[in-house]
Amino acid sequence: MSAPVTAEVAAIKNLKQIAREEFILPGTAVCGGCGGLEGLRLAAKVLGSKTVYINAAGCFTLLAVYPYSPFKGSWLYTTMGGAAAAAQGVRDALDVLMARGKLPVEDDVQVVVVAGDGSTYDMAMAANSGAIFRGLDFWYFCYDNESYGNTGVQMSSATPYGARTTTTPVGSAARAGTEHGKKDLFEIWRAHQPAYLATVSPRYPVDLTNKFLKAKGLRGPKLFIAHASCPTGWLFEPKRSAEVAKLAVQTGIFALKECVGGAVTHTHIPRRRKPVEEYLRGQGRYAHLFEPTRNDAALRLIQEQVDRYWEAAAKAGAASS
Amino acid sequence: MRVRFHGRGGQGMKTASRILGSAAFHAGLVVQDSPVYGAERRGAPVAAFTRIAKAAIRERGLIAAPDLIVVADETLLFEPTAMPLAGCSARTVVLINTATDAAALQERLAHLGRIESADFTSLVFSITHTLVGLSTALGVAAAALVGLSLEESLAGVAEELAHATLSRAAYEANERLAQEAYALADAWRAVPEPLDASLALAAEAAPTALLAAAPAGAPGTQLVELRFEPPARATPTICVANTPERSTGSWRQFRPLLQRDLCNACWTCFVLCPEGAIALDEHEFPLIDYEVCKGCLVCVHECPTHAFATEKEVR
Repeated sequence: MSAPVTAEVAAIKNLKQIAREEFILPGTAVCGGCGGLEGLRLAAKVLGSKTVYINAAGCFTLLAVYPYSPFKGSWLYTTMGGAAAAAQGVRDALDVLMARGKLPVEDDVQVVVVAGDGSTYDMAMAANSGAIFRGLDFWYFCYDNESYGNTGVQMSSATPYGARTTTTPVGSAARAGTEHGKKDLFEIWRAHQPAYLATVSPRYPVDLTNKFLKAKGLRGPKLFIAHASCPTGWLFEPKRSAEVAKLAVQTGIFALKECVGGAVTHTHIPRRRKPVEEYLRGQGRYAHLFEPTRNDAALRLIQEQVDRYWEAAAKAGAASS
Repeated sequence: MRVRFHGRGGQGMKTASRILGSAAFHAGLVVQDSPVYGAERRGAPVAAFTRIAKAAIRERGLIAAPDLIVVADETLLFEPTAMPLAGCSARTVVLINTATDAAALQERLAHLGRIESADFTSLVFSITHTLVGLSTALGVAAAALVGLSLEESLAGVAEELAHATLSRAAYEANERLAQEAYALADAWRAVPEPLDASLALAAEAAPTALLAAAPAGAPGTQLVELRFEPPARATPTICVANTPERSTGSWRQFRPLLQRDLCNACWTCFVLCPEGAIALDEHEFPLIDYEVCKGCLVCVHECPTHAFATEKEVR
């Protein structure tokens, strides 16, 4: 038994409609310029204080370190693979409390998993699949900084082709650094038919806010993959965090989209896409693609992948309209 | 010889410790270097250790009683979570990257040993035009202070920078920087050999943490005794939304300063501040909470009217 589904909230049009109140407070130990924290902070402005955060181990372990917590809301820490299972337990407990009249139904307490890509793309794959399959009423915020950031930037299955990590260094046998392609989590999750699924970027706060507002009206799994620009792991100056996130969208590398009822809609289509190089160049993790000699083959591969993605998206869009 | 490097995440002290280690290795010495393992956080205090000896080094772990301490960031000197001067003796040489002169620091820090200081930040900036390169400058300066030659130092730099995929120009700039830093540090008296130069045995009292070596009353130290309480009583006392008490403002190396006349109250900095360290006043102008602002400078970089100036922090 849960609270009644609220009507869909009207979308906002500009920055000044974003809530002024903070629900995740400063003073945490995460890196300065963390794009993941920026995304979560904006999301929390929609989620409010009647929340239970289920925090899988990862960079965001550093958010709530005893005896401190930045959350206006409750918090539970779990293993990297266990957050969705914990979310099921917490959701069930809240429902039982409401059924017994010990928790006001109108409080409408929300359960929010916060997990990094190492957890989400690798270790928690099965637990997440189970929770989404069961139609669990919860939110999932994956801050995707494309590596195991907290332990010193090792490759995860979210690490993109061409990025250097400490476990995929550049060498004569692996000139591109990471030679795997990034796992397409969006499509894996889409196949589960969740209530809501979206990608969000910290540099597109209005788009991000609207997606959380839209999901607020839905019961069931509400899943978010948040691009998390990472100065420490991607090797750029912290002040460029938002700029790097923006370039990912402008070059078409990170697609802003959502999926309701199986249909995918791109919420922002970069009409004149910038060359991928403009995104890659400013990050030390890709420096070996340019210096000491240019790796044209790798750069072409990355560009072609992006071009193919958007061609397919355009075709799918034309077919559905 | 035991050398301890202190800096903030992103300043390259792990690399500096490796440059020193590689340089000593090229000199035919036995070397050990390691950083403190911890979550990699930009701006947070970090430390790295290099041990150098003529024969096998049996000593392990953190260096609690260093012969040379290198401090990359003067803001760390009074930072309770860093305590770079912990474990100092009168024999310990302390090298500080600062524009303040050594005599003034000597007085302020009440350190009995020798302090050397130079503005390596400006030196690095004048040659590489970014702050990347502090690792080269301080790694080489440490090499000069422990008595390694310029050639050995340059070999250490070459070895470590080979991993960094630099452009030709950037590499040459680092080489030039290394030479200048060496010349600067070579003018200082070398660090005296430790009394137990062999490091063959665990000569140190083997404290498990740097804290243990902190002299009582060292600047910034405050020991808090935590009483044991049964979990049923202790756990529910976790507070909510209390992180602002942690004052991450000490991480800041540059301070964003609003020039009100240039601000058009557009909310961009307030919305994009990853920390949520910016609030809005009654006229919707940003108010930065310097107690917690980490100095990432996203606000400065994103401001559409360029209304922020930056100022180097001096504490």
